[in-house]
Amino acid sequence: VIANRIRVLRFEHGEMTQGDLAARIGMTRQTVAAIEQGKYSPTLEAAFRIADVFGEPLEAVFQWRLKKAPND
Amino acid sequence: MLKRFDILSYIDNIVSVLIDTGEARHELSREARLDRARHGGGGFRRLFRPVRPGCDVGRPDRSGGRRGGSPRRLAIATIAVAAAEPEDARAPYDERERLIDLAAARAGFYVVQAGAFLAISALALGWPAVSVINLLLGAMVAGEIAKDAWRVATYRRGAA
Repeated sequence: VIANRIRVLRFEHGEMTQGDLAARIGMTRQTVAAIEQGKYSPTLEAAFRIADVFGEPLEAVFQWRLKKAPND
Repeated sequence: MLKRFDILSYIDNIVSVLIDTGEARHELSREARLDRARHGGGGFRRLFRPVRPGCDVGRPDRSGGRRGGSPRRLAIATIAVAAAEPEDARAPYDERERLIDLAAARAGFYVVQAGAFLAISALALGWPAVSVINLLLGAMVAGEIAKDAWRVATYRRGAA
């Protein structure tokens, strides 16, 4: 699954709202909320835009984590 | 989120289809009755038979100029909703919404496809042409409803 630190980064950047972030990357607030909750995986372009807003490298915002199988 | 504009254009489409269907049914049934009375025949060909001079198949306008009322009310409602809608509803489409629209269109297409198949089957089984046309229109309306239901369900779930 793709995990992210968007909520933490928003808080660290002056308690930026989802709406503010959405406006800066040209998306809707609902899409930002869905990305933040891990319900929607953004395109590479959107991911780079989000990372650019926070001034962080992509891997500092999004991380790929392997989902453990039930019998592991 | 579901755009208000889409909801209104959807309502507008439904209203237009219902008005057209109602009027078509009235005209066709009246024409069919006149046709049967004059020629003793029916069938699919009657729909394409030219109207003879002096044959009054049209419906007299009894609306008293009220026929434009529904579109006017719809226009007023559109303006009212547009003025009251939040910023979110006016936001431009983004990638997730495009994905949702694509998936919804696919769902609606399957419903229309099933309806068209039913209509063709009904025609082959000898159903009257008017019923087949109504079946097709019904399939289109059902397809639109399925499309919007899919979109609403996806937006509620929050995923794409």
